[in-house]
Amino acid sequence: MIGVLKIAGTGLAGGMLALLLRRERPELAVMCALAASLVIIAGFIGDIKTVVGGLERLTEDAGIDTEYFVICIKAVGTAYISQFSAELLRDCGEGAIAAKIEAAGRIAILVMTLPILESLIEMCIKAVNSI
Amino acid sequence: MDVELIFQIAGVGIIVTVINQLLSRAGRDEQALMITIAGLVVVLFILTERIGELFHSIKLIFDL
Repeated sequence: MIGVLKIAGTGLAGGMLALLLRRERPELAVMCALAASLVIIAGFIGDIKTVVGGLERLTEDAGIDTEYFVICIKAVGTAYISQFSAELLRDCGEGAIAAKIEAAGRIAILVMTLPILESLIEMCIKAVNSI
Repeated sequence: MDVELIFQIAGVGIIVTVINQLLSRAGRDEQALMITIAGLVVVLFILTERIGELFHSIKLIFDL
């Protein structure tokens, strides 16, 4: 609760200061927004760590192969980084570069998850052949 | 990371704007441009470090 209040306050402060700078120095307004988002992310990144740790423990307890879980987490991290930079570029008005970064993120995730897809297809082929 | 980072950046922005206005009123437009660029470089110096920190911690947490 307190954490959310703190984060909301930080976001409002950053937004207002960016608004103040927007007319005279638009480039520094973008930097101000970037600083605000960095502070906010730093505020909740510890919680993400806890959540990931908890999920990993749950997966281990359930007896599922953690190899696949690690790939899932990696995909989430890639999506996070690419979304962060793409949103920022979109704020600067560079929609084209943002779209390319998002495409690159998608391709990276696809490359990461290809082994899972392959093993699934292999399993399906084996099942079909055994009939 | 602290909220002071935001105020630091906004402070640099306001100071740069004021100095820029003063210099352009005095007819020194090229120095005003230099001030603008200097402000941008200072802000980038502060922020690139923090962005690197953020990406590093994301890398650690999601073991990329």
